[in-house]
Amino acid sequence: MFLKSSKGFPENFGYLNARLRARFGDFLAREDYRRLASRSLEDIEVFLLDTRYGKSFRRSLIEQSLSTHRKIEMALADTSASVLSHTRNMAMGEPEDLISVILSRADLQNGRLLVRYFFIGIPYEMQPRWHAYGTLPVRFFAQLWKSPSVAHGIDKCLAFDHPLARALARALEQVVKGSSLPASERALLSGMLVCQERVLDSHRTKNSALVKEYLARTIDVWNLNIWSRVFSGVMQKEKAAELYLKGGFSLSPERLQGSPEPAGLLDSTPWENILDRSKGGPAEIAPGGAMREFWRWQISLRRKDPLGIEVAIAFIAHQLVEWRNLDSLVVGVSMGFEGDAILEKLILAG
Amino acid sequence: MEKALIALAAALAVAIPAMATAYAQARIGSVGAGTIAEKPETSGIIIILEALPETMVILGFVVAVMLILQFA
Amino acid sequence: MIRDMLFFGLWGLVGDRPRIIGKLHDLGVVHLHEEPLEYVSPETAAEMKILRGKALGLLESLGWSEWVSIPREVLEEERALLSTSDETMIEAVEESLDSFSARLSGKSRMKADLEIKLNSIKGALRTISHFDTFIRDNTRSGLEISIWWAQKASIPEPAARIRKIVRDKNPLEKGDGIPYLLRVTPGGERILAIAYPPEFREVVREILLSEQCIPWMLPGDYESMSFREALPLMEAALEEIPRGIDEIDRNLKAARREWGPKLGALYVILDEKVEEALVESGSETRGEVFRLSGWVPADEKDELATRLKTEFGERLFLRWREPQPGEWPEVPTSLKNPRYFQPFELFLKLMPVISYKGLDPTVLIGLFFPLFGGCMVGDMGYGLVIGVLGFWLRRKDGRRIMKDVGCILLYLAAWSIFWGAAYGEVFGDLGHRFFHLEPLWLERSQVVLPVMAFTVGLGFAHVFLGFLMGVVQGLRMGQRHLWMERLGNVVVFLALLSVMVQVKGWLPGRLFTIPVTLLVLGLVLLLAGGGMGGLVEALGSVGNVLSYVRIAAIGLSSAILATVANSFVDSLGITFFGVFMALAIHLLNFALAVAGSSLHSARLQYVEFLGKFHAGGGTLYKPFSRREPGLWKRH
Repeated sequence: MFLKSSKGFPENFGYLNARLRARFGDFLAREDYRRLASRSLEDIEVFLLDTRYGKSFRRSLIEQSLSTHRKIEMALADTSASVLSHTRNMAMGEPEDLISVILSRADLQNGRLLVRYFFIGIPYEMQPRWHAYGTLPVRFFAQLWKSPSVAHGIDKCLAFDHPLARALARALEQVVKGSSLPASERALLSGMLVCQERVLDSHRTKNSALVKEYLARTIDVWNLNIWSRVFSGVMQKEKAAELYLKGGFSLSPERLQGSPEPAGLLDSTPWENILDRSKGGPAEIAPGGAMREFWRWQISLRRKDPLGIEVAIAFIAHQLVEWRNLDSLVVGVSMGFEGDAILEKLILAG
Repeated sequence: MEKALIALAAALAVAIPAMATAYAQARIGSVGAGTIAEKPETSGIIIILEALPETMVILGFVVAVMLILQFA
Repeated sequence: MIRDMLFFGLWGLVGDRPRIIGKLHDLGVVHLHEEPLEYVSPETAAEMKILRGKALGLLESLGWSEWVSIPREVLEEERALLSTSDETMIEAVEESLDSFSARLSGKSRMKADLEIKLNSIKGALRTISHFDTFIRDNTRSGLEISIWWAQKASIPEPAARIRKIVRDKNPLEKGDGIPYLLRVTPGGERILAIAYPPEFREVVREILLSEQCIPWMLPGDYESMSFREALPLMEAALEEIPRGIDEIDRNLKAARREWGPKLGALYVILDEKVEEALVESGSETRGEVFRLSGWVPADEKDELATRLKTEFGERLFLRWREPQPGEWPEVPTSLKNPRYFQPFELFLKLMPVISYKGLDPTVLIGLFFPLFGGCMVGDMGYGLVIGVLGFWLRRKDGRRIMKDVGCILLYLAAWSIFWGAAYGEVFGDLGHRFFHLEPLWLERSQVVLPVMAFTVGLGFAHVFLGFLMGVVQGLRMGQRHLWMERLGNVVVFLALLSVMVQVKGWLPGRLFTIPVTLLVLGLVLLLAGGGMGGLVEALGSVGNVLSYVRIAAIGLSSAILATVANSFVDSLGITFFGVFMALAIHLLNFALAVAGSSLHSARLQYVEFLGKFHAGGGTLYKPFSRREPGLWKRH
């Protein structure tokens, strides 16, 4: 019993989860969003100074050239990145590996930005807002952005000598070969998934099984996005068949190909909540619904097992959702939208 | 032989609760360390929780002393 | 003891408001009513908050945190400077902060660029180092070299194609005209270096690209150069860039030294201003009059009233009253204990704040903690060493917590010496060996049972006292369930005591009805106060009493270990090894004794004693005061 327990690092899960559970109280409450939605950008600035975003915001305050909006964006990104990286640093052994897999979502996002950048092929000096909590350092992506050509980019990826960087190199090769953007992105996603599965294979526990489910649901989200393009007539069915990924949680490529209607595809799956039946007509897939549902599922894991990876998954999702919410709020406020209209765009969990 | 068995019984009376206490304290300790790191004001309560399983060893010790004094 | 508090109300003229608030800030005794968190601060406060944020942001970028070193005169200088009209002040401060931050971020960016450059040169040189000899040999023979990421390509085949083209164009070329070298990185990537006559550059490029090879490139500045040109330049840069980074670091360090204290003082004053502005905005205004309210310790009332009246005379109206029962949860708790017991307030800092009408156990902890701890150590020698350690801690550090710990150790030492005399121990049995020291009470390593019985008795008294405190606490707070349950426990304990007395034969048998009556009464009270939970807790209290056996158990092991340490000298003689082993084991025993006795004695206070009556739910007394330098906390 002792040997089995020590293999799964229960003590570290206990330590880590205790710290994370204590930090759930730091997240903004529904009431905070409601108040902020009806305030000005300056009020949001003052508010952020008194929160855990304060330290990053102070750093961006001393950057002269930035607009208020951009300063807030920077503070949100920096704080989120440091909170998430700290989450990984608090873990060791199995929890650390599992959290790295979840956080390599940042590598995927950054990789996607680069694939799109090279696909469009128009040099642009200003760097995007990188997700700085993944396995690969932001410095690596920033240097890639400066590459004068895709070939230079691939060279830098290979020189970095990391499985995730190699997955990005393979995706960029697709760009060189003239493949479509979804095909290149698919190469990136599948390459990164292979690396992550390899990490998970070294831990055969209930927690790693849950992270596998997390990856499988990521595949579902990808497949659903492709499927909705076919449904809205933007993509041909045959083309989509090449883009579907195997290994999804509840949606196999066969089911995706054989379902012409959203209701038939999603009924009795964990994704059925994203069906929008409000208009009384046939069910539609709400835009961005799959991702929203994915977030909700992750956040709902919070109380499932106080000594498992569930707490970390929920915490990470909560942080990312708060980041996204505050981003939307700042954009909404700076564009002068009504408070209620802004609140509608947010994912308010709990 | 009889004395050896009594000694063994006394040793077991302390050793088994000690192992059980160690197991429980390891679990509580790691969770407690995490909680104190985030909320230092909970230190007192965490010390209480961490200390609770110790009673097992103390009771084991009492039993061991009784065994030795009664039979040895 | 918990200090009595008074409700404090102040009415003043709006024109005097900033001065009155400044005065209250100086006096630092009023715990102001907390206003609900409001995001919209008054405009000036919001601007000052941003300025404060900028000042702190600059300090963080500079890596400065020596708050204690801010000279008082710099602080006063800044305070005088910022006492002028707020509008002008804010603009001037903002301007100077902006110009400083522009310079600072310029330097930081330059440093970051240099670091990136350095890393890419290092990476490139690492790759080239795999082909060092290959590059040197072939460059010498006039060939050009390029490096490629070779993926699934089979190298001999494209190399043969290149060789054929070279030979077709130049029949005099020897067979080995196109040498190449393949290396595999730790990650499994294959890197190819190939040498060829310069005029065939394009041919080589085309063939390798068609084989899905990807060109490996030199860092940006050297990209268009050949290896022969680039290598010496890169090696020179490798030495030059760190010098540039050092230079920037030196500049930043000088800026930190010069600007740190000034910016620190600016932050401190801005922080005070923000606090005052927030208090100002939180005050209730009616026409020309404003109102502030809060709580003040009763013993500070006269001093506060005199100081305010002296400065503001009749332009100020003060009102005081006792807190009403409905207000108790919001009245802040401030402790004031006799000097001897003050260090023991440390124990309560680890617990939720006691409510205003709660009981302060500091004095009782001060009595029992060192008593139990000393009983576990029970050695005059160790007690003396603990005393020296406590004395050193009290002297060494300026921090309050260290002084408190030092004090507690001194009390622990005194009780250790007392119990050491009772057990006749000086570093184990050394006292007996050298001075024929005899125990005043008993030798605990030989006679276990009396010590165990004594500690159980001690536990009985301590837990009983805890229950009595619980009864008082319940009555004071008007919590019927609490006092009934605790009283039930008290009565059950009395029943147990009388049973024991009866069993011992100290009371006549016909009085056996007393314990039975007490037991029944106790059980009824327990059920009425806490239901079935009350009964379970009563059983747990018996475990609590037995838990005090740890005092005997830990003491016994400590005494035996000390004797074992001394026996090393017996068996090994007064040799270096014998003395070393004895000292090493004594040291280990001492560490265990100090840590074990403190932890276990603390546990007995927290679990067995405080658990019976201590309830949190109070509010910590936080007077509106200027913080001392060194106690600045980042916002």
